[in-house]
Amino acid sequence: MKIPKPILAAFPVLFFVGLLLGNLFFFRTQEQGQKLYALHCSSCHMEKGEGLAGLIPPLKNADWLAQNPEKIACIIRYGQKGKVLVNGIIYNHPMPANLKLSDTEIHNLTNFILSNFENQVPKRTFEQIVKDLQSCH
Amino acid sequence: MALFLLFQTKNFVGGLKLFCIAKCFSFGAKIKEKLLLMRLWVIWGLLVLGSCNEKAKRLPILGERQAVQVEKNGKIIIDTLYHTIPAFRFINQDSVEVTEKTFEGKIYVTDFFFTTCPSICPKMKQQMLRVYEKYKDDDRILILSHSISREDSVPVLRDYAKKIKISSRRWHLVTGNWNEIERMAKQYFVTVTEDKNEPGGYLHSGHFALIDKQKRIRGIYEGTKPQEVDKLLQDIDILLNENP
Repeated sequence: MKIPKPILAAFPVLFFVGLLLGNLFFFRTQEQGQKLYALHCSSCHMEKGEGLAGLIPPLKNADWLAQNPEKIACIIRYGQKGKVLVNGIIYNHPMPANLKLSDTEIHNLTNFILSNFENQVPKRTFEQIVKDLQSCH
Repeated sequence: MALFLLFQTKNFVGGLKLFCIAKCFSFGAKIKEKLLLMRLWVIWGLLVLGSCNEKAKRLPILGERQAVQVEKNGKIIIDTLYHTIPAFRFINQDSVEVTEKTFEGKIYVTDFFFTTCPSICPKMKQQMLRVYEKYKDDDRILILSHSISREDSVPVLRDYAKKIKISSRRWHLVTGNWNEIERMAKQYFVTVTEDKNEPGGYLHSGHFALIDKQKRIRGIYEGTKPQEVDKLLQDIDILLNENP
């Protein structure tokens, strides 16, 4: 079978387009967490995750995150009410819900928080996040 | 200061001479040394001039102004009338009435926020806390934060103040009639509106206004930006040293 010339010529182009798309996808998941953080979290938890004195708990080096990694996804989606003990300080200020974020977005956001701000908590898989979200409340 | 600088310069030149004798022994050494000496004098001159400028610095007076005729010692003269903050009446986190009289003879920084605001307020409060921390023992300065939410009652404000550990001796969190708050926001050139589509239900700008003892606006700063608040802190010091 003879492959027409235009299609043959298109192969290298397709190869590079594929490479480009692959790259885009990889960096998107890497950077999506960071972008979502800047958009949805940083105005309260601050750019460096330090929170606000006595009012908004820090995400930076936070013991709560290491102790409750399975609760993070639910809090991002449905917000938080009541007392939370973070690094020895009790915080009690409501956090608003983010109902518009998809499971994937919450996955990337959670992992961004868990691996930044001096946190060294193992990343969560997408399956774990889906399970976490199913067992909220 | 000048003597110290001169001493430093001489020492430096002396060190330079030794350096040259020991290492250079070249033709250009003397010229180089002279050039360096000249440069040092120029730097010294700039430093002296700079410090003079600092003393003469004054903050601008913001807002509309108008010329009026006033009688002074039996003569009619032309005077400038500046935009000044009118009287107000609110209640603070400790249920104490706060009016324009609370700020008599004081410099104050003011802003508009609400306790449940999910957008810019936490950043504004983080920055305002810098102002509070710097001047909390200085009774020439006060802070006035107006809440624009109808839900922020006195107990809510008291709870908020307790959480961020501030005292009403220096920082008043006030609430009151909503239209009154909106009217005052306009006086400080801050935008405040109710908007159901906004997160939290209110739209407001995050500006800090600096008010002098004569109730005139001397500066407006973006309260969410650390660099702008750096400038505010500098301007407060300038205002404190300003002659009336």
